[in-house]
Amino acid sequence: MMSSQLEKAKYISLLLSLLLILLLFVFIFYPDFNVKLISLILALAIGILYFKYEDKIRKIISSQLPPTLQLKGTTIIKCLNCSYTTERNYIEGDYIMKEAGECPKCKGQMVISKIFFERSSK
Amino acid sequence: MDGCLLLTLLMVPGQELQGWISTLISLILLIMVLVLSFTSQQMQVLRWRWEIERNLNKLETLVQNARSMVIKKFKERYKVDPVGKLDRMLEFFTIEPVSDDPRYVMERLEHLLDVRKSRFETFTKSILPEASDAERANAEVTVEALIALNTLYRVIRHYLYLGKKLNSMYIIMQLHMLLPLLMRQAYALYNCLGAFIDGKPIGDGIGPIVAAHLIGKSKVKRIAKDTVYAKVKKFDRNLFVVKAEGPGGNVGKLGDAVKNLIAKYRIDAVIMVDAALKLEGELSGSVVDGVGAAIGGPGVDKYKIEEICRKKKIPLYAVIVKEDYEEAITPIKKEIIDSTDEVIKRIGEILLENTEKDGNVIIACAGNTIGVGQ
Repeated sequence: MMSSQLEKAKYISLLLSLLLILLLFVFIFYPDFNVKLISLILALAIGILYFKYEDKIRKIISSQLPPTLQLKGTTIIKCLNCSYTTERNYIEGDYIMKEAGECPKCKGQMVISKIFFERSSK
Repeated sequence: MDGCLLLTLLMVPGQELQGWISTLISLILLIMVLVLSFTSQQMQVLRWRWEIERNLNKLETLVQNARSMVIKKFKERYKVDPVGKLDRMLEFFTIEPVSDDPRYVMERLEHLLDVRKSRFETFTKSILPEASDAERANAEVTVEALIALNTLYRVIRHYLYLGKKLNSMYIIMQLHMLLPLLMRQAYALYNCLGAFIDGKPIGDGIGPIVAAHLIGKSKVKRIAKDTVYAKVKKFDRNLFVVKAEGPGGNVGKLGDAVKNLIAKYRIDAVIMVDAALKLEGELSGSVVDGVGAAIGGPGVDKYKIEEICRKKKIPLYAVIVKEDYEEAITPIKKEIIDSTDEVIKRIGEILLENTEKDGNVIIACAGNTIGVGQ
């Protein structure tokens, strides 16, 4: 779905609705009968046109999806000997219990102990 | 000529014409009120139908996007073109065994699920011949999620079209009432695809994560198909920690594993760990314990574990981590993985309260082990 298309559809809908409301207001409150009558005819014409193309506008708007899930992954690496822990961003291919090098403190085996993801919508 | 006359009359109206038009408008309004009082129900159905159609459009876009995403990832990563075979798999189905005669229904169901699993394995092998076992397992769960999303779309479309065809208010109404739940499920399935393709750990994997932490450096052995165990000395007890073999997307065969371990060792208790669906208002990642076989799926493993524990009179305890449906199938959240230590603490409490020192206990950790090794 193109966002520009969606913006256009929303803009047209809003504009037509406002015009319709304005004309109906004129019809109700304006004292001159001629203006009243023309406003009513115009409002009806706009209303008919709007409802004629409403399904198309609705289809464009309806295919808009909710924001997709954006994830920020964090990987926690822990030494199996001395429990020294370090943290870094998640890299594709990480998995829990994957070997992650040597411990800088005790030279023991380090493994990925936790991976978690924080959510934000985009 | 008539048109010009009418226009002249409209532009220079007299009181008579104004009266006429006012009467006409009143008449139109009256007719509208009458029509609306008889057709309000139909209009309500129409509104429901529009709402369903709008969501069906969204769902269609979701399915198309999901399919394109999977194809793109497979093409990029493995340099293959899975389009034809993938499209054939999209409507794959499994017919449940007949349950009118309940004899061996679980065995028959297990057989069908085994055939299904082997069918998926053959499929992933054919589209990804160069991929590793773990990558193929991830592709398998990805395709399963895609099939589930496509099925959801087809079922909603079916009931909408049926409702329209039969002009049935009740079909449309029921579908409209269920729509928020169905759409929530659809978005969760859509969002889980990325995690499955990349092999990220998911919320449902909390069981295998607990198992991996308990196993630590201990050596693991295979005990059943796609299932491993390790013997660990902890809390002054001999723990046989069981989990599905990772890090590929896999749930293993915990029923067979527990059965084989009970046949091999004298077991004093079985403790099961799994993620469970929370009720709205409950905290994600909260840990609760109880009794019973904490394992989801079609019920084959649950039945096997319950049956063997009943036969051998072995107590069956359960520790669960609460999460909602979306959290269970999307990449794991911090509050869920942080419950690992609390689960291990709770297992220790159950062991100290209910088992003897140096006793043999099976810790069966259920869940999808995607992104969790051992």
